Amino acid sequence: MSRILIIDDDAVIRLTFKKLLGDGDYIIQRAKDVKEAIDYLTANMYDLVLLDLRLPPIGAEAGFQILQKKRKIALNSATPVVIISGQSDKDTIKKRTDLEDNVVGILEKPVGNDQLRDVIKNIVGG
Amino acid sequence: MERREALEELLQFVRILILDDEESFGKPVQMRLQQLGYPFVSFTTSNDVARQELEHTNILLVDYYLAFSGQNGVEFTREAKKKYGANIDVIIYSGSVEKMAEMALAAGATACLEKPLKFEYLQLWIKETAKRIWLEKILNASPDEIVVIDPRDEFFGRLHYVNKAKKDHFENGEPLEYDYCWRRFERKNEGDSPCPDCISRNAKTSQRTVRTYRTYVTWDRKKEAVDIHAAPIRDQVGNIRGIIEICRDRTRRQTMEKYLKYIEAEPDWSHRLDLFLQGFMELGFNRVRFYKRQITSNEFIGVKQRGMPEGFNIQHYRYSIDEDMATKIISDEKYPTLFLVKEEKGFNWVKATNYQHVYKVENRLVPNNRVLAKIKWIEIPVLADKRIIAKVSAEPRDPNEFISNYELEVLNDYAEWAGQALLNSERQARLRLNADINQLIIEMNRKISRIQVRAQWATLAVKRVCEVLDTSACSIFLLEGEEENEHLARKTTFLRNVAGDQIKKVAFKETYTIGRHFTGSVFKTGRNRIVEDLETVAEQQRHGGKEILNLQAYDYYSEKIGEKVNNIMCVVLRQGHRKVGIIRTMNKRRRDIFGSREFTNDDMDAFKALAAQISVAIETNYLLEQIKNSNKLKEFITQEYSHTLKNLLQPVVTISGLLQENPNDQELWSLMRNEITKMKTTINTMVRLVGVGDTRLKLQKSMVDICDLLNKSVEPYKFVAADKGVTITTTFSKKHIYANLDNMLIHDTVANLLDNAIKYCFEDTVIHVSAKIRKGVLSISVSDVGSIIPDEDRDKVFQKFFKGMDVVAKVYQLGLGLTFVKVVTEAHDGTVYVDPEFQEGTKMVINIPVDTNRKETK
Repeated sequence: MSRILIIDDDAVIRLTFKKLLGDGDYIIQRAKDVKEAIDYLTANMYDLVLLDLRLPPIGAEAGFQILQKKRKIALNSATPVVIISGQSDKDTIKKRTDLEDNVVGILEKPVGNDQLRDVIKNIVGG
Repeated sequence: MERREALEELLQFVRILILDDEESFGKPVQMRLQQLGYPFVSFTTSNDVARQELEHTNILLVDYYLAFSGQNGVEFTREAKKKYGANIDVIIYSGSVEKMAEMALAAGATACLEKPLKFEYLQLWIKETAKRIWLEKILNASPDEIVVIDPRDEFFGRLHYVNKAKKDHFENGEPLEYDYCWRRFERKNEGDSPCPDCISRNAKTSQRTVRTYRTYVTWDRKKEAVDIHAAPIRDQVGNIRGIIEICRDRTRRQTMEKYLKYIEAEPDWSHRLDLFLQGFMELGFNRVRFYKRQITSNEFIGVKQRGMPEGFNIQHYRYSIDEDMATKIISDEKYPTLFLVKEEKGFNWVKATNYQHVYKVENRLVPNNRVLAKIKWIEIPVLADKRIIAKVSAEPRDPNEFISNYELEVLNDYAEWAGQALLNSERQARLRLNADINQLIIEMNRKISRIQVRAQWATLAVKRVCEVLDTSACSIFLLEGEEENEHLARKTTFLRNVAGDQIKKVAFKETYTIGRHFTGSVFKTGRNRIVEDLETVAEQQRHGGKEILNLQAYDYYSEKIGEKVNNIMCVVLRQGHRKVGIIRTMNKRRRDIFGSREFTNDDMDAFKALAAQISVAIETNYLLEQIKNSNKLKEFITQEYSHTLKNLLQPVVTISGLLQENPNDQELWSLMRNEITKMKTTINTMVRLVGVGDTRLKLQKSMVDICDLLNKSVEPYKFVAADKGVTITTTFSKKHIYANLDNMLIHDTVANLLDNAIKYCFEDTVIHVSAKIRKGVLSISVSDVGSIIPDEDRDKVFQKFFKGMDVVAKVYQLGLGLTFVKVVTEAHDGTVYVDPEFQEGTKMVINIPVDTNRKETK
């Protein structure tokens, strides 16, 4: 079973994403801030990371911080990342990310359920 | 007549003949002289041809070694002089002058020059001859007083005249062999008393001395030393008909007036400076530098440099001086107008002497005829309105030569003219004032940062004031911004007293200072009220700072110097009728070196104009800031709220999809209701707050059960709180508390408080919501265990877009929630505050007066 890490500060979003993806198909883990996210990424290997860029306490830079630190975590350095953000300017996000970050998709909130499922299915299978 | 025209006319009289047996030498000399502007230059290798030409020749240039049989250059000279006498000047040149010089001069040669010929020197001789020829022509036509322009002094423009009495004296009483009167004036304390009318037989008679025009006679009845240049005037036969005297002191004023006209006609003073420097070069100075004083410091920066070797360092120059005698000169007489640079250790100023001292020293008018000082390098201050605004320095071209009196005189005059030129440029600068200030505003508008704009703009403005008014210090005080240090705080207090206005803070201060500050100074208000210290608040208050502003200029009074000088100007900067700042300029330069600087009415007018322009700049700056702020707000709202709404929309979209698949999932329905409530609250907050502006909210009051309302408000947040391990509890003083309120707004208010509390509280703690009513006041509080709002931020948290600096709070917030709480509370005539006594975290308390009678009816 594929392991997915959802990183978002909004508890309801984390919960609803978990419900959407279902416990049966994936192993879902959730992080609400940078520290928690790094802890999870250091401890476990994931098949996909769903990342919200804007996280407490530092705001929009938090997501990029996580991406930077992820590069150095051997366990997940190659893990694909899908950015789900309220930021509509995708070009800016692309400029800020690097090939090493392995960002495979940028989705703008609100994301439809089918769209999210398809994206995840294409990346991790199942 | 223009000097240049006069010179050209003079050259028309000059007929030059070159006699040399070597064509390879004579021909180039001829061509070079023609190049230099002499139209009539002929060359011959034959003495027979030369003899024929002599009749039409004024100047004969002849080689000493001629290959003609039985006749060398000296012999030919003798022949020419015998025939044409004073009508022809002969210049002999040779590879070695030493042997034949005496012989040549005895034969009547005017000068002996050494090969290779230096055309600068040659030209000097030629020009003098030209002048003599011209003067003779004029004299023959008009034997009385004449006024001519010295052709040699192309850049001096001196006025010469012939004194009729002297001319008669020559004609009637004196032997003709004396070419001119040479006499030195000796002052009372130096022995002989002057006799202006007799001619000393000890005068030098050699042609060389005549040619140099250097002589000193007593001429002025006032018994002042007057430097007079004398030259013989001959008639056509060769007899002396008179004497030309050049008296600088008499003609200086006329000369200066004349030059002023030139200068005024020539706004570009640098061109004039070029001419001055050319003049120096022509005089035989090799290294001439011109320094213009920097407005912002004591340094003199060289703006012109002639003949300087690469990497030349002016500090390497030195001169020798007898220290003791120099000291004596300094102490005996006070002529602090000329400064000599001493020793090699930089600029050690020796306030030694003006040129008169140098004159005495040079002429050995000291005991034992001992040479006191040989001036190798001289530096002269450039004065304008008695102010030193620049310095000129010069050094003789020949390292073995020293600067003579005559050259010092010339240097001194140059310095004076340069001063006038610079003064003129200053006037020009004032005319350009408005254009410059407009440029300042344009430059200011280009800047981005508000503080940077102010700082840079003010820097430019201050510099401009210093440049235009030639002041040493200028400060601008604005009435808003950040206080920088204690010193500025004191200034602020001073300004408050002076301006009579509520000055909150000083935004910017920039001062340029020249020299050190005076000590022991006092400031005077102008009405016999002396303020002990500019920055002494109490004194300022007591003596009425307003008066200073009304006068718009202080009288500066220095105990040290004991004189009153208007050297501070102070003008209020206004924006409309509102005082927004003060601009002040003052003179802090070292008075002992630079002399005093009094502001004139012109200065004050210029300063007022500048202040008015700066006021405009302030207003423009203010408007720009307003525009920037409003753009920033617009951008902020667009970005932040779109992000917030998208975040709120995401769960709704996801849940609605899930509900389609599983309509019976009650947890999903509950989540959906909560999210919709939160979204509604956020939208209400934004719309009400942003849309309402500064006006009060319109309420739709109804009788509400507060307990029920709070329970409903808490419900949507329970899930989010639980995710953080936080429990929300409620406590009510009664089972039902009724009050006449706007139901929806109070709901959103409590929701905002809860939202904040969940964001800021620690994990696994309790958020407590309580409500009570006492003496007609409904009190609602929301407390959490977590980060504490600092004392200084307790009021600020209710401001729009305020975000606390607490890094413990792991939330990203908009900064509108608490503002909304405040607005709603105040719309209900209530108050909201952060309870300072609650130390475990944050407790927000809302007190709203309510109508208690109506609850009974309910």
